[in-house]
Amino acid sequence: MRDVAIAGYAASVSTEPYAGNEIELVMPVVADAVAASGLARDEIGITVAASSDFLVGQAFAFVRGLDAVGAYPVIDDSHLDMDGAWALYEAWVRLQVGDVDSALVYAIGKTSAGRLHELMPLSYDPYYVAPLSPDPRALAALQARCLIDAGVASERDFADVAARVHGADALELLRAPYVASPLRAHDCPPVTDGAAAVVLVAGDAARRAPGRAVWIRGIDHRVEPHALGARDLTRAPSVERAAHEAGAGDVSIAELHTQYAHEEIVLRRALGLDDHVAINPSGGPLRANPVMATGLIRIGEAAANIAAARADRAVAHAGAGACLQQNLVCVLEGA
Amino acid sequence: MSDPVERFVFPMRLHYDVAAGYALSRHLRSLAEGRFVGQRCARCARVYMPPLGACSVCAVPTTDDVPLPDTGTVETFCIVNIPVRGQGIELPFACADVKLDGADTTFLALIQECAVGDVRLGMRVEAVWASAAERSPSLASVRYFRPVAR
Amino acid sequence: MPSPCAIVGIGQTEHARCRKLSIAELAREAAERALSDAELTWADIDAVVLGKTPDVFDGVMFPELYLADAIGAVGKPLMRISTAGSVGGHTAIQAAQLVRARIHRRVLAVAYTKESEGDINWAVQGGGIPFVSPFVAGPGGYFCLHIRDYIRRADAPGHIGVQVAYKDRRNALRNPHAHVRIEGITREQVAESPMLWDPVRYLETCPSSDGACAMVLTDERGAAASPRRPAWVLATAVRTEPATAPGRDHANPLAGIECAKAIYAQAGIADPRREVDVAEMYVPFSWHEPMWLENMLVADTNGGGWRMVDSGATELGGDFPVNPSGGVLSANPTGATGMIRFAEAAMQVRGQAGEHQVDGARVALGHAQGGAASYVAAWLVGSQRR
Repeated sequence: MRDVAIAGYAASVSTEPYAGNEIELVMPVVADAVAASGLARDEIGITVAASSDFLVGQAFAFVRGLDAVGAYPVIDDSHLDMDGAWALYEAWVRLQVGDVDSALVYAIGKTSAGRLHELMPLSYDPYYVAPLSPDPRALAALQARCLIDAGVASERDFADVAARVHGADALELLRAPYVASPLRAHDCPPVTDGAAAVVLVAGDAARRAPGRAVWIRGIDHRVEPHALGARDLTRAPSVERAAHEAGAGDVSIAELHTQYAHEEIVLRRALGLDDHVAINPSGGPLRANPVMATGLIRIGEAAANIAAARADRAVAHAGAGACLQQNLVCVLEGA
Repeated sequence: MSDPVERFVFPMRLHYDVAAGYALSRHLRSLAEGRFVGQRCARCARVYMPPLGACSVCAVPTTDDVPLPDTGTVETFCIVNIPVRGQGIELPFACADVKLDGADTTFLALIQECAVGDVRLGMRVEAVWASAAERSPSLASVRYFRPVAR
Repeated sequence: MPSPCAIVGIGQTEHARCRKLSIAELAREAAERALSDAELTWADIDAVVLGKTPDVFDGVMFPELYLADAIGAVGKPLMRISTAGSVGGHTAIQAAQLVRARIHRRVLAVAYTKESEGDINWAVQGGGIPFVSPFVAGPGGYFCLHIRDYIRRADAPGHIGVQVAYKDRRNALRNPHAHVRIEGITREQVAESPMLWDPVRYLETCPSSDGACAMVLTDERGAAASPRRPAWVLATAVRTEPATAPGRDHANPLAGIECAKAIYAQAGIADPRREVDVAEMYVPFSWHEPMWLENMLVADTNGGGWRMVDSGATELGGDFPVNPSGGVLSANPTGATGMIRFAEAAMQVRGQAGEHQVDGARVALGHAQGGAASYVAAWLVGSQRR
């Protein structure tokens, strides 16, 4: 496997609706990440984009986004309707093929454009589940309930996670009403607009990049059955498998795609993270959740910590689907 | 025992708040006033009409507003013989890629007041605006383009 | 540099206006046929790559999550590529990259569309947003503008489009998977069908189909163990350009030209007209055949393409058959269409194309486009490894 490093990262998030369009949202983020990498835009070998047209209500929105990212005159390029973490994986794969040495990955998440409680049900089984229009928070709450029933965690444990993220008092938080029992509003993510970009560099070019190198030591992703009833929701076997394949372990920082407070408990167990590991020093998705960019931001934030010498090894996790059906684990290490 | 269900209809109702964006909003407000306003890239001076906020060539924001005339040129066209949903346009009709004078990009426009057989590449056309009362921050403020009267 | 990659299993569904299967059943049907062709089981697959056109087309968002079980991806890496009409091609190429990087040994690529379950008019109209043109000329409204431009530039005679369509409709009769199969089709029927976007007539346009396609890609060991002749991936390329950039040539997009140069360079091909034996190309409107023959550097610019068509070269019996399967005009499950082109190209060099087999096909081109002809994917496959 070729050594691949993260040479540039930038992100922009806002829990106030962003008044511009996706082009205006992503343009400065891409420019900043490219500038940080030390590469010129036209030196970058491939581009991989991530966004969801459905979430913003316009088919082919991703095609218009090309105007903002230096696609002129022609680029080697792909796009996924998946979180940017998977776009980073696709870019990493291409760097392993060996015919290009660098990649620009970007993700756009203009969550405020739509209503997630209307839209997310459309990602569930179209015949048996979508027509029931279950609120995504309700489905997450099923998993939280399973944890409680199995004696794995309590509502107080969820409140402790939220308290850390929001700088609040856990007992105070427990007094808030449920939005979907046993989850409360502070256990759920805020609607966030944002974008993120990462530049990857392989081989010798990586060794020449400015600053402390941040290496991708392992990356893997796995998916579980779709039907919630077919899964043990107290565990995340796809996370365990991806972590094993990626060689996760011995990290001091973990950036996790925890849209809901209880997911932190599931992920800590699946990744084997003890109390010495700092979880989501960035604040995590409970502070900012630009859907489609959230996972890529986890990777970028973990990398930023290593680049700033706040850690030598970190793990970043990205998730997709109700109750963490699909998961990606990325292990990062400083030189 | 009734027949197995082969198909059912699942009605969806989705609400979106779509932001035109800073650059396009300025342009749309001009349309409400019956004027075309494009934007120029400060780096390469290309003029975008309609503007999306970025220069595709330079990947930088287009920040300079450029008033454009109502006249332009047909770059290419086609003659449409199928009804378009929600449009009460008589068939067949011509639609064209029009480049306004001074702009570097084209946009799709309806051509009227002209026999479809008379539409030509390079034809000079001018915008026909909706009345002030009918105009809004929308491309619908331009009713169509017609050949420039000689 | 890329390791060897071969296609050892190909499957597709019968494409039709409306298939009475669930979405999962449709995707699985193609995948099972590909596994069966390769004489492999679900357990033999290491990773799955799914391709699909925009989710607004059929109302199922992030369908890879729902389909994980049906396409055998549970416990495995699963990705979903989304590059508009070219997605089937990009998906096949991503699957190939996983093998060429030696990340996985056997990868299943699947692409499908079930537009009969969606509302495509709503999907493409964008719901009355004030900054999207209120005047939408239908799917052909964009393409036919630039077809006229080509006809003018190339000084092309008016009958070329009809000639292409007549060819593809006859070819479809030799393809049991094709959606549109008009028995006894005559040239006059095509030439007298209703005019939609002048000069393109109804029978010169593509249908809207339900359908799926799948391929199993593997490394040299997998190819050696294959019960049937493998098709070797000789070259792959994807290129994208901004659709509305100033000065863009919509009738001869740079993305296509660059993609073509890349694949011929990778495969060591200097003269594609002579060295490629058959092409499956993205022709949703008849006139795209001569246009894309020029765009993919098979024919000379500004007329070489229509002259090739006019000479009969692109007929099944000609010296450069194009779309022996009947092409996009005969079946267009949009999410799968690109992969069908890539798969049909592979079928040709495996000698697997039955009644639409081009005799002695050793090198085949698969080509797909998306967006405003602004996303291009292409591959070359061969009966021999290079």
